[in-house]
Amino acid sequence: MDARRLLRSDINQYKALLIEAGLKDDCPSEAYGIFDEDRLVGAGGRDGNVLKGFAISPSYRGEGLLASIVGPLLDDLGQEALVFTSPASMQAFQSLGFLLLGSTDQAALLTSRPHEYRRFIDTIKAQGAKAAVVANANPFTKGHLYLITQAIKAEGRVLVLIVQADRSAYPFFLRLEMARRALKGLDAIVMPSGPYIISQATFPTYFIKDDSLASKAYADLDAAVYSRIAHDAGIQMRYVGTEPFDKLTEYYNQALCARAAVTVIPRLGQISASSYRKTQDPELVPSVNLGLLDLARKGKDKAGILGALAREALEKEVMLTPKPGLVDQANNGSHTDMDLELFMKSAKALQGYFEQCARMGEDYDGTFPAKLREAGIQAEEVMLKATGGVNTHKGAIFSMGILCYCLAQEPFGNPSQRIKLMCSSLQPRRGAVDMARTGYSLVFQALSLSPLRALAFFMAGLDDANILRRGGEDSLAWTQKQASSMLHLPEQDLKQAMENLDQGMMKAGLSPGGSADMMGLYYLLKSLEA
Amino acid sequence: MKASCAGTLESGDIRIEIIPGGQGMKVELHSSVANQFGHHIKSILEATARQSGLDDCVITAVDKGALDCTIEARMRTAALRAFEADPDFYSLEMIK
Repeated sequence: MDARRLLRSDINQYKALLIEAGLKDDCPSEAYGIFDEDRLVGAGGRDGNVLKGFAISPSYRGEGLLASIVGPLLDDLGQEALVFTSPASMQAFQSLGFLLLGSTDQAALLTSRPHEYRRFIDTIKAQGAKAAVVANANPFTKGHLYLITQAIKAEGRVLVLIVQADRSAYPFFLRLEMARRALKGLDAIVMPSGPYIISQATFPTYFIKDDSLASKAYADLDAAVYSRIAHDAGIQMRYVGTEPFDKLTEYYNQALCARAAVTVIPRLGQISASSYRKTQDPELVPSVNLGLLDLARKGKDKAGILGALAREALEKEVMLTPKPGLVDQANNGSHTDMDLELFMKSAKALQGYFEQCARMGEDYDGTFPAKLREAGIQAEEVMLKATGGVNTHKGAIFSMGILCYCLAQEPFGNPSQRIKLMCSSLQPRRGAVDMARTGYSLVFQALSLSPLRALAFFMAGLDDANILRRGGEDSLAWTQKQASSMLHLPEQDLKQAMENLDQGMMKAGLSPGGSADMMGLYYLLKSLEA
Repeated sequence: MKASCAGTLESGDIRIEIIPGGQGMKVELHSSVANQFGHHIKSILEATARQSGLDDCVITAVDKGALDCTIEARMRTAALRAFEADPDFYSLEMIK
């Protein structure tokens, strides 16, 4: 008997096998099979990290075929695998080293890495909370805030687990941040819900609502998994809100009550996440989150949002007026081949590149990836095409690309260390490369300053390669001195000083392009503070 | 160093995963003969892992009744893979 990866041409045999085993003939995206001669006698597969679709032909059962299928699937995956299976197959997986996380009379969930489960439990335990709320927070509403506040009143510290599966209208990173900001100052610990609670494996129909039997089976299983986690992690009480609208959520609440200690709090008025999604009524959400809800409108996922913000940041940078020697609303500075409109065109053309950088950044591993370099080279071509051959944003392609890449892991955290680590392998060179090698520390220092003052700060502190190229060391020293002298001026005088310097730099034919690039980064980081 | 694995779940074999990180070495064993031989298997795993230069990592092993020489060979292969070497060139020598 041979084991091999299943090909497209095997799919009819695989479907027949699934049907024979009494399963739906949904074939997972990747599968392995065992062949006796040419006949497929056992198979199983995975979608992402969820193993599924296991079927062994009846006359071959009990021969250990499952092991020959599961092993290669785990080898390929290289990370924790979850199995959603029937209670009858539970033991077979347990004998392959899987840990049972929860089971009902219809389904069971197991993990291939028991120690990852235990680590998850240890992380929860370390928070010292005795009560928990699990919320999708799609988006976080005043109703969530009310429920959690009631729980804190009764129990003290409350653990708030935000559903991690990224299958909702609002992307996970925003839902998590909304909960964090809305609960700031309260005795609540906000954490990702992890891979086990309301995950795609335990509760796929949570995200595509239907009240079929399958949904109920998933709800029961999720309740079983939750009760195990709560038990292991010392969570004694779960708080939920009453559910007058959604049948499945109501059933889920009942399933929870049957298996764990649950306190049901009457819902606050008619407030629900779904009513916010319909009406966008700002009264339904904590006002501290209105900025985040605006961010959500900019793109459909994290990378899309970061790409749009990067483009907007470049637009804000060129609009900032007065900027000495640079293209702004008042003049084209020391440039003859570009204007405001051209910069806008260029920024628009580069949005897709910034999005791509953010998407690649999910794989951040501390090294400077070749694929980022390649994307940057392609983006330069995109820019030149959009501008008819003018270099508007070459520096921004480099620095904003790196920032988007490094923000992807944690958009609301500080990416400076990540950038520094990744760029430490670059050959030192005055200007853009050296700035990257510092992790853009100047930009992070400037975030508390007004835009004009930040610009002066960059011009004073930066070895701007653009100025070096056009005017040499003397011009750089002169620019830095001029900028330093205006750092502490009141805002109105600063503006006047900038206008004067603009005239001076135009006369000298100088343009602080490197500082302009830092302004772009400044605006992107500012927009994430919103 | 990266995550790696070696071995299969077939009878007579052992499947080993190495997950880098953490402090110190942690060995987790699942075996149907854990009661009789668990201690012995773990000591082979740990000694071989240290010889292969591993320190901060989690090692998980699912044992299906592997012999000592198999356990040692699988552990070495997983370690080599963790350090990105190609194990095929060394395997014969290792199993002896």
